[in-house]
Amino acid sequence: MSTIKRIFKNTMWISNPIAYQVLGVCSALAVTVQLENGLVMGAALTIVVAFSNLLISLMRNFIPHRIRIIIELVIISALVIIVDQFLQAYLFDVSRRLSVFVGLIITNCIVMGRAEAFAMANGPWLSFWDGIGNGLGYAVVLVLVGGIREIFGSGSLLGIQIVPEFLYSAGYVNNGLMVLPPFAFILLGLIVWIAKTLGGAHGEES
Amino acid sequence: MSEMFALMGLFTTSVFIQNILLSSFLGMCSFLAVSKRVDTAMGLGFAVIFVLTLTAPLNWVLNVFLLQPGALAWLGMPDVDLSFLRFITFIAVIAAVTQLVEMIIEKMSPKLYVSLGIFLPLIAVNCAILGVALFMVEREYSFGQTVVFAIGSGVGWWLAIIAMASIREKMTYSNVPKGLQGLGITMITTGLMAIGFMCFSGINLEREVEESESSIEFSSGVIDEKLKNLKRGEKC
Amino acid sequence: MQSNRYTIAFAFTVCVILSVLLSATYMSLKDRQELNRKLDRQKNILIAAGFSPENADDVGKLFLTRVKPMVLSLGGNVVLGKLPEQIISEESQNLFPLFRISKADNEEETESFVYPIEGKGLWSTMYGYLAVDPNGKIVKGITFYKQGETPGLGGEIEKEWFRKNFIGKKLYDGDKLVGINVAKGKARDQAAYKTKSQHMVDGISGATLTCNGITKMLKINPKKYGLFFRQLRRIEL
Repeated sequence: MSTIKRIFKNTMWISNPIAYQVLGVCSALAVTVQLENGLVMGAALTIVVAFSNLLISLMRNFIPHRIRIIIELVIISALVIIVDQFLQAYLFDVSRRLSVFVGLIITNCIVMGRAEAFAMANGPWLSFWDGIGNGLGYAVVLVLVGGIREIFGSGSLLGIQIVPEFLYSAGYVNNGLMVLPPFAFILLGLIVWIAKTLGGAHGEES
Repeated sequence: MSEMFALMGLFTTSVFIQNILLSSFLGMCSFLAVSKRVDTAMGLGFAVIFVLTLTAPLNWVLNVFLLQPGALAWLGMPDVDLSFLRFITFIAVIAAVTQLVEMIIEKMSPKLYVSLGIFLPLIAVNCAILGVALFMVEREYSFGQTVVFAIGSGVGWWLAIIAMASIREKMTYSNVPKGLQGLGITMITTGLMAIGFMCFSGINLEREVEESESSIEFSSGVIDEKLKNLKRGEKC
Repeated sequence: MQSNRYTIAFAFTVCVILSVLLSATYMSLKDRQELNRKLDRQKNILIAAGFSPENADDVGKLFLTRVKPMVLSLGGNVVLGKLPEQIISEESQNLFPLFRISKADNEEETESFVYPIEGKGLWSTMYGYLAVDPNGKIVKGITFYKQGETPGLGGEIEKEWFRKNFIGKKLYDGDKLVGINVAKGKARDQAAYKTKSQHMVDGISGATLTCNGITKMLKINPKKYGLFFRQLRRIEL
């Protein structure tokens, strides 16, 4: 199996950032009320982790050990802020959608976690793909949670009404608990249960 | 005296009613991963309180005297607006204090240092800490309110992680299905705890200050007066 | 093992490089961003008033022909010669912007008025525009152009389905400003609906605090313009 394929299997299934490494959970709750926001956040985070991993890996031999946390964080924040500034200037509508997520991305444990755990110890090419893999692993969980919450909580998917009208008239009611954050936790727990039972998320890297 | 009560109200609100972890859902990652044992949880909880209490006031000073629009008036530059540097400055301060805490813990308790693992440097990205700083800016807290809010949020976070660790220690004696052990059951428990904390959500301890501070309310107050005078005039 | 001097030099270099990078980015993009923000605000004023501009040219044209910006003082008087973008922060307590939308066929007659509204939500301060009829009492439209509420919950206030419900609702009960109450759940399920349906709209479930913020906004912001509308009515008598 090629190295990149192995990285993907590792990062998305065996050591999934949310289900195994327990990183990036805060945002998984906040943005998954609807599927669309989960997709946007997943995509944005994947790009950020990949490039921050790349940058930090390139600098890894120069960063002094004692201040490495600060340097990593500051580089990550600068990256996100510069991207946000460019979006505000050239793609204003997109930046308006993403403005709430900017803070969530900077403090997303996945970015910092992978920088510390992988990029500081591996080359730029591998680090970049590790970033993409982790980002996608995160995105998959977000899409699952967001999809379930939107279908059962609002009866729609990506804004399109899925639950047919006749069910509502017959007495079906959208599940209000799905829309509230505590239930996202419970849902995540159930997803982890299923993943572990199916043989994933146990973290033994090949 | 009412200032004291207002601050006590803010403290209680930060610990219970708007618990930074169970109501605002910030600071999850380390909470879920480090709550296996009460002693590690204690260590991390205190570290978070410490970092919060140091960074929030520091960030307040930086915001008021350096970053917010008009902050540099004392240097004779009232038009400068550095608020675009807010995120990165706050994060840098938090990261620096976290590095400091890491060095202290490594020296004072190597066992705790090892058991916290990667989650010690991850305090720097703990959304709760940045969240407190951003809330303080958004809600325009004074210095005193910032300190109380920071300590209160820290204590709230500590309370949540201790509670979770105690529950998890007890759960080692329960028959949790294999796939659910560890992260799975912890998440479900957190969800239930969060629902429990929702019971606090109706309580409002923050008194509305009588003299409104927001400019809209100030202007509308003046207009209320004028309208009253007008009405009186119209009665003739 | 790296020496202290190296650590300090590295930290210093990174700080300098990043500050230069960030400041250069900010300075060079600032004007473009401000232009985008201004266009966005103008677009929102037009949408609140009921127009549907398709692109930047539409916005520019409509704004030029149909929108007359004004600045009001506390007493409700028009401050001649001053434009809303000229209000500086120190003056914002005493001077307020107001946009008069003229009728399509007659510039002198008024179709509606639009003014900015703001208020605190759950996570952020929400900014928007409220369009009212020439008497200032009935809502003709509402938009939110800046808010940082929870995506999918409070963030839904920007969606058309939510804003549409405000059209036709009354801000005033006779001469008294009562604002619009965003209900917890569906408006028609509330007890007060029987008597107060014209002052209520459906809420967003799961976003109670954001909606409370909007209720408060609509009780406080219209106050600033109360004197102006009162004087307008007296002139017409």
